[in-house]
Amino acid sequence: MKKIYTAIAVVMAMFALWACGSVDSLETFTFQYTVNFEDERFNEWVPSISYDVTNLNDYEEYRDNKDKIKKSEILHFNFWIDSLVYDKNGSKVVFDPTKNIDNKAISFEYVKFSITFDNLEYFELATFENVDIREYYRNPFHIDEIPVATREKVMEKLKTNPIFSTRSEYSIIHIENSSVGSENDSIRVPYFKYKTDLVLRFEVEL
Amino acid sequence: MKKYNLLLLLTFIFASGFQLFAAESDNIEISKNFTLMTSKQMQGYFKPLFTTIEQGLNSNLFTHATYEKKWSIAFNISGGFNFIPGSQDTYTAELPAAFADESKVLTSTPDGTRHVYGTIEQPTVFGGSSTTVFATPQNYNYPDSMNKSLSFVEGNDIGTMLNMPAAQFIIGFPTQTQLRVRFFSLPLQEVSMTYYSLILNQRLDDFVHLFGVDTTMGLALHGAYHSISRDPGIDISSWAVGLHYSKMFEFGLTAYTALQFEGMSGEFQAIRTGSAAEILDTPYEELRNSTLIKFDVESFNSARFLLGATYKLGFLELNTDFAIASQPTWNFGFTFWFGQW
Repeated sequence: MKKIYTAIAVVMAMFALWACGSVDSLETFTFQYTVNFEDERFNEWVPSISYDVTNLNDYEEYRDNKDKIKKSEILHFNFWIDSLVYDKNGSKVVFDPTKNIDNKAISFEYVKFSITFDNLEYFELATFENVDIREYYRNPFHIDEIPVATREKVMEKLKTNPIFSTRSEYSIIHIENSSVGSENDSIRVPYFKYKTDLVLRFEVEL
Repeated sequence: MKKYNLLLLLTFIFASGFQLFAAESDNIEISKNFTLMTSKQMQGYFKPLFTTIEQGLNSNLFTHATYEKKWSIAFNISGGFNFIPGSQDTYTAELPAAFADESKVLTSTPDGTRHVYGTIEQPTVFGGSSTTVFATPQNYNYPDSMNKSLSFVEGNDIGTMLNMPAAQFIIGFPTQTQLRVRFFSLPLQEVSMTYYSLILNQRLDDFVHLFGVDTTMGLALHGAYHSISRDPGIDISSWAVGLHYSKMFEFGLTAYTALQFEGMSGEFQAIRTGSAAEILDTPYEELRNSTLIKFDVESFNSARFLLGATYKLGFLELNTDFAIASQPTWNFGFTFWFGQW
């Protein structure tokens, strides 16, 4: 009988290991989600700062999982210029690389994005320097990975604050062969539209 | 404690355990988390999991091959682990057709790769992080304007997966035949999902006196058929056929080995839910035009070679074996022998 008890103990131990053991399993479900937002400005004076409020409750994926979110991260930030109308010698010019030959060098010294949950503390998402419109025009080639330190700080905030504000800071704009923008003065941009993709990762409990 | 097994997992997946599915009609409905996956993507994402299920179904079909010319009855409970190879951590995900046309959309990935089109490697259910494909539409004419950045579902970084557990009745016949039967049924969105297995083992060596007077050795043929069905939605069958050989030693230990061919086929069908806006706002034509998800169920595995040992102590028999297969697998179980006559 002792042998049988020993055997049963061995089997039970194996089953215990099997049932509770080394398997990292499907306790959570992780998915990435892209939040697209855009900003459209008319007769904007630059340099300038603008704010855009995002409410994750507007997104079904977030609403459906928000009570089960175990972890959330901001991973990537992608920025591109969608449309631009600029003033050139008193006339409005639509920037279009396929049509205009006179659109050589229009650039912001920098465009900076940061995020805030309380309008007190800002976390930098990305800074794009020497933003030559030609290089940023309707292409997804400018992707910034959010620094780990920022991710961790934002992560905690994002768990309990689904509403956040993104601050966009535009530097002075330079237009080649134009008197405007050659000094550190403000210039008026008749129309300007940019778009961004903010990639979030959510880990939700099953 | 992380205690999941595939029985539970099946329950989770097919019976809305993790709210993957929501019950509203006879059709299986897939809710938000997987709404934005195409049928092909779901097939690739879940294929390693179906492989685990298939291998679990076709495990613990037998132990020793020395079936006696007696009636017998027993009950067996078995389980095991599958070791997930790195090759099953990713699958090839299709990208929207328009991504190939740079006049419609430009694409890139965070590692700097430009003009991403056709397919891209993404994690399976057992894999790791996914890769976002960033996209900028070049015009705002429908449907070109739908060509937006794509994020994908991630995997769970699983290297070892619990196997399908088996609780099976065993009946031995005087023809040196053994029948194993597994069965369970559970409601899935108010429609029953039924699982059963029929496993037949037939000793062969005695017919031709292959081992002469040596009664410690046996050679047997085995075959198995498994079915998982829920109408409508799930129609999966799996099979195995092989030969197993065993050699009994004096101190009660029997070693066994087997070569087995196996497979799985079937179909999974469900209805995609989600708001109209959400479904329409996607670059994938399939998602915009249809709410139906339909894909063939497949397994990576087609054969296994196993080595094992079984030890009988009175009414209790313990066994364990290790098999080389698409997902190397370690199984073990115990059998209560109620009677033999």
